[in-house]
Amino acid sequence: MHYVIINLLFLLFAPFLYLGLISKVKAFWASRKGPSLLQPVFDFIKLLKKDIIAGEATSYIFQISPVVGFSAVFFSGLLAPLSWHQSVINFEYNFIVFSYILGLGRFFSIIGAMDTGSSFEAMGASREVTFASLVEPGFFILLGTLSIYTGNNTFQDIFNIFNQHSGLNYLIISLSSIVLFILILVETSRMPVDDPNTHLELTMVHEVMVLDNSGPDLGFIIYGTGMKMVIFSSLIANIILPDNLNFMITFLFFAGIVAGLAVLIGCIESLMARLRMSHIPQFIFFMTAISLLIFFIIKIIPLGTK
Amino acid sequence: MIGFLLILFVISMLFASTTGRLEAYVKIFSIQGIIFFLIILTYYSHIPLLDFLLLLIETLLVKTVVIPVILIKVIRKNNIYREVEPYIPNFFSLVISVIIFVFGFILAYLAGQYTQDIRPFYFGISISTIVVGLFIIMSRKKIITHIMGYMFLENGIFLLSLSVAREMPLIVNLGILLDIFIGVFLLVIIYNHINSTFAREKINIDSLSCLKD
Repeated sequence: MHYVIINLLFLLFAPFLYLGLISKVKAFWASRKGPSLLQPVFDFIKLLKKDIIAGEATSYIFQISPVVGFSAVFFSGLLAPLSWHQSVINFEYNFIVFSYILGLGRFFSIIGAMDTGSSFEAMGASREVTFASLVEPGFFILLGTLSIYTGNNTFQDIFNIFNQHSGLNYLIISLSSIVLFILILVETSRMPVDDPNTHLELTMVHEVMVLDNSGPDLGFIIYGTGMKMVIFSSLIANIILPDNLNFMITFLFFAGIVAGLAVLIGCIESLMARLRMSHIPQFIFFMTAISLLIFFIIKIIPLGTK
Repeated sequence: MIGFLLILFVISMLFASTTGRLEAYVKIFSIQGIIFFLIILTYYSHIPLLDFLLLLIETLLVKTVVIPVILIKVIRKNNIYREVEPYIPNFFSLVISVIIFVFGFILAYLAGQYTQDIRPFYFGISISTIVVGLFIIMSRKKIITHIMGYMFLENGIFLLSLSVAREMPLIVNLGILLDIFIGVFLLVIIYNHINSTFAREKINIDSLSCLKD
């Protein structure tokens, strides 16, 4: 039972620290002191105290879309495996539900953006749909491959690959981590795909979709993005970690890997330039290519050693 | 270990089919030379010492240093514009290379089921590398990228000779490399001459098609 409680607490509070850590790393590269790690919490509380202002052209869809978006992210967080390879809600093939619940959240954020009637937001929505449709095959090929490889069919068990030490396992672990890392960057619109700091409308993807949201809505959208990052980072941590360590050490390693990924994202945002808009589809398709590679590796390498 | 190297090789080929920069091709070729060097190192006990040393020199010296340096010199000397200029967008050329790799792996899977003489993983990667090399030759405008596609093709043949090592002695590869080396040399010389004849900055195969007797 305490697994569930600690995982829930982790899911609820880690997003703030994750976002704080990213901005701390970015401040480090810019030789600034930077805001404190808890700054996202203060921002969130500040936004909760404000009023919501909705445009005159908007309908009720604009008002429910942040709520649906956030609850979809939270629910998919309950399905995803967090620490100790345990997800809070566990049933067979829950990774399909995971992906489509996230898709539902994205759908609502898109129609919420289009509901404002702003052409900029519609442009951002169109880009978001393009990238999301390119991400999905890669993600499903990866999950299906891991499911075939481990012979399990629940989200928490298909990441249990680090049980024996073999070259094939290391290969799959490293490639899957790359795929999932690209997935984080695309899904949460971080640097090579989208610049979270820019407010030049022509180059934005995700930021432009939430231009009209304000107050608690905006707070929950930012919180939801942070939570999404924590969820996908914990998928990477689940792939890397073996499941036979003891209770405390596993959690420390898990939290360490998630924090390490936050640092990595911060470094990428500070050191890399944003990709040109026409180069992003091929960057995302690279992810699908690597997932296909993993699929063929698990089919072909065992054939050679026979 | 070899699995890691081969995967790196595949990723470098995928990157080659999608990159927009000309010098990235040269760097990829150099990296592939290092990958081959490391693969050959693991073959130490399987092949005669002389062959082994020759292959080490070939991969580390010729593939990694000499040919890339020559190509970089040609690019710098002729002021070739740094973009690759493909006929089709980079995104589709990545998609097509992925499809080629998928078919190569399917072929290797089928081949691995019926015969024990080949190593399927090597086989799939080498066959698809050869086809991707051909595809790079076909889909790019510049003559210098034709030379590079030709060299990717040769890398595929090198891997193929490793995958069917029992039938195809590694020394055959040395002959192939010599051919390629001379080929690159000739192409580079011809390239310089074409450039001085046409005396313009941008030459591609379109300007060759207007040549007449």
